[in-house]
Amino acid sequence: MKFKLDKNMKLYVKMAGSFELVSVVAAFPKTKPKNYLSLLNEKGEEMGFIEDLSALEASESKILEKYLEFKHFQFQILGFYRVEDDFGVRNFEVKTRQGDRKFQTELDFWPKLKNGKIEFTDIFGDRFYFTSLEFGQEKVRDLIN
Amino acid sequence: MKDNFFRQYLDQPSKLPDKLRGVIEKDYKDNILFYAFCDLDSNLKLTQSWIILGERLYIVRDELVSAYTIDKNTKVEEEFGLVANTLSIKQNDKFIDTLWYGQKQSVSVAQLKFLIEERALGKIPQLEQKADVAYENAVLTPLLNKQSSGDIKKEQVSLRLLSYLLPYKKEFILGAAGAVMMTLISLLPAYLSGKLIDDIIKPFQDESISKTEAMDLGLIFIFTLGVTYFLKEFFIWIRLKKMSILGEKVARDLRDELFKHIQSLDMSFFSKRQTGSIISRVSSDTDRIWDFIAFGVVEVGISTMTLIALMGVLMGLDLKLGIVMSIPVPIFIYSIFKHGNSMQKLFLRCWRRWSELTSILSDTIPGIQVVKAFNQEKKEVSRFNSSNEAVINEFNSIHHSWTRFWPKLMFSIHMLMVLVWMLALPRLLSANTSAEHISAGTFVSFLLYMTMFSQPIEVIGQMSRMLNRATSSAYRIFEILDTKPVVKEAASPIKHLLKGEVRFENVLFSYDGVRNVLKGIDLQINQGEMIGLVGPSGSGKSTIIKLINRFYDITGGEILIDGLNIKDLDIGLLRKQIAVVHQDPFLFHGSILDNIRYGNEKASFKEVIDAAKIANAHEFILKFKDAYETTIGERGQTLSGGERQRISIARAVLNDPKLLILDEATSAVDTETERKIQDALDKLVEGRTVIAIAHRLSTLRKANKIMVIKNGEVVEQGHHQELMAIDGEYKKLQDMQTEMFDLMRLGVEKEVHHEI
Repeated sequence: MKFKLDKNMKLYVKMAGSFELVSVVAAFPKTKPKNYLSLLNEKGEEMGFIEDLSALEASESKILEKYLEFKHFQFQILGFYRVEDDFGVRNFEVKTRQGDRKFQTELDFWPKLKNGKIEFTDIFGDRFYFTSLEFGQEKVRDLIN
Repeated sequence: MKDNFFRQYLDQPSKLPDKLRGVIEKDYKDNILFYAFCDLDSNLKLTQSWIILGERLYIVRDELVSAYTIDKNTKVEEEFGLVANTLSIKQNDKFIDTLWYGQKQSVSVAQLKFLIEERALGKIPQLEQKADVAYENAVLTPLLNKQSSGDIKKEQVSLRLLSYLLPYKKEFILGAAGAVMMTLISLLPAYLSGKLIDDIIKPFQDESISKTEAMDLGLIFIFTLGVTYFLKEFFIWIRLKKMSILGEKVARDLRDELFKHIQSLDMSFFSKRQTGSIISRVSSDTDRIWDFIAFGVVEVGISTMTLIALMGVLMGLDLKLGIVMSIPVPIFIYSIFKHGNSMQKLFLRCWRRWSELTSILSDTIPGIQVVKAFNQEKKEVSRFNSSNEAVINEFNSIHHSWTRFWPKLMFSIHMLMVLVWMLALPRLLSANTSAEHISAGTFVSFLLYMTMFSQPIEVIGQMSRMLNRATSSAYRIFEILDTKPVVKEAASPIKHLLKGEVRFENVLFSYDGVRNVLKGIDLQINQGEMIGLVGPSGSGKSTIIKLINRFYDITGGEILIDGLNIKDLDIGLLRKQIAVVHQDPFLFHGSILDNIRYGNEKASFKEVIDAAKIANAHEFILKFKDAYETTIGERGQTLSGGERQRISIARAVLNDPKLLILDEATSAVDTETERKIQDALDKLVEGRTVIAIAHRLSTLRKANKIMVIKNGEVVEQGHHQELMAIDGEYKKLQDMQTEMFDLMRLGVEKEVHHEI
């Protein structure tokens, strides 16, 4: 199994014959992001399955890992500037590895510690997480289970 | 207003920058049709890029514009990640550009993608809204659904709650007057006690008045004291009576409004929320409001008033001691306020845990058969126990916080009293002639007022707890009340009596606003026709019937009922004329009669029986001891699947629908029951337009037309014979079913053979 990743983040796989465009979906993206990977062709049909990324050749798994970085990307929070309950939503102003960002969750949303990360999903579906913080820990302490 | 939302909540411009607009319109001489914002770059860092559709397609990064021609060789593809998504432009099957964006932009990008595809097909996309408005709506809708009024602050929750008192002004004024009178009268006994000592007991001890005079005056004082206590209790009674009834009325009004509003919300609301959470808002949250109205509203006002009056009286009695007692009061109140704020969060956590607990109940009790079938009782008990434990832990954290704070506060108040004693003692023991002297009576009054001092602070403390509970409950109630239905009635809805013609024109639909479940469906169903919809699970068949009921609004194209746009029709009347028979019909707790009559309460007994006969339900209903008056369980669990199905058909018959939808109505029953149901359905479909979804293709032989739906598109259509003649999807499905039935028959034969 050979992989090729272009600058448009398009992944191609060569199983037999020529390279074919595929997308990769992890069956358990939260708990096993590098295992049980399904290779789907443009029609959405499964054309291959990888149980464990580490079982691939190093050069191939490296390509796939880069692609999965995009697929499993989440904003990494480095610190909380402000957390405020507003009417109907909870407002966060944060510093992320990607830059400063505002996001909102429902008031009923309570982040949980899972797989060593605290995850937030905002009302648009964007996901944020942190493992450790540079600042603002006290602003979210009461929210976390 | 919308600019405020962008500024307050989002990290992106509220519209395409004017400078960029100028470049496209002047330099490229193009009209902007639609645009979307892309917030990520290829390194997944935050950025500001734009993709703009006019005659051509423009991608703008760092003010650099790339222009692309759109023609039949142009394709656009999206790829979705957990957060980051890409939109790639393809020309002659080669990727020429890609944009990265997060979920926040996904609705506008999906809309843009559709428009590019339309343009690539040579169509000129028509938009109802201008580009700025379309962009604004696409980005803001999820936020506005959660946050209908961005300007409302927390304090306004209490004010909004108080506005529910307005219809009951008279009761409120009476209750509040009772409370004011009670407060004023409460101040009298301490004053009278001091006077009794200084004006009667002391003069008698000094022998300035006789024993008889002292007794007479004393009795008047004691009588006045008795009257004072009587009046105090009388006004307490008035206050409690009026305010507690008023609280019940407000809680009832809120429950009514909330339930009515929940009924008006569309299916998208219910699909996103757990039943337990909605139930707890209608039940326990409204109950807490009663607390707030019955006791909270007046108590806080009265206690504040009492504190101010006490400070005045204490300083009037003795300025120095009064000041010592009064100065710390604002500090106490501030600490109560601060503590209350921290309690607010704890209470929200508690209600959340409580909702989780009730959700487990509303999950497992109706699904008890599955729980038992899979022998999962222990697992469910343990799930409930851990959720119950979590509830206790959260409530305990409230009690811990409260019990840590309250003794400290009361200790501070009592220390203040000790300080007053220390300051007063030398003055009590000083000579009468001394300027610093304080009389025993004045000090007794002072002491009695001091004991009253801790009470309003205590009340404010307790009330702040109650207010926090009530405001957090009100918050949750208003959150639902402020949710606006996405499916909206037209300004002047047409009350149209259906004939039964249905037409879908290039209908697009997406549940999540991104992925289209229906991708340009065209359907024509003439009045009185029977149409069969077949296709694999998840192909979009059930979505089509939900759209005909207008449970959701389409994202593109048009649905016409008898030539009228479905969005212009009166929603209630439309649904009343459509009956849906589901695979797993829902029956309400109540009698069979009530269930058949649901939707047509005025139906006579004879009509109910006739409907049951048509539905082949009459005979089995009569086998029950109470016949039509037999009470059936919450989900009709005392009936078999086929029996429930036939009751739901009788319900549909009684409604006399013009449009009948059969959603796999016979797929969950045995062959004999299926024959009975099919027979009932055959009678029901006469003279009506029927849309039938069926897995068993044999049930669709009578259909005028069968449509095969796959991946949200109509891939084949025609009569059974026509479709069988094409070697396509329908034939594939038919062959699969024949094979399956053959296998099943073989299995039965083997079993029989084995038994022999």
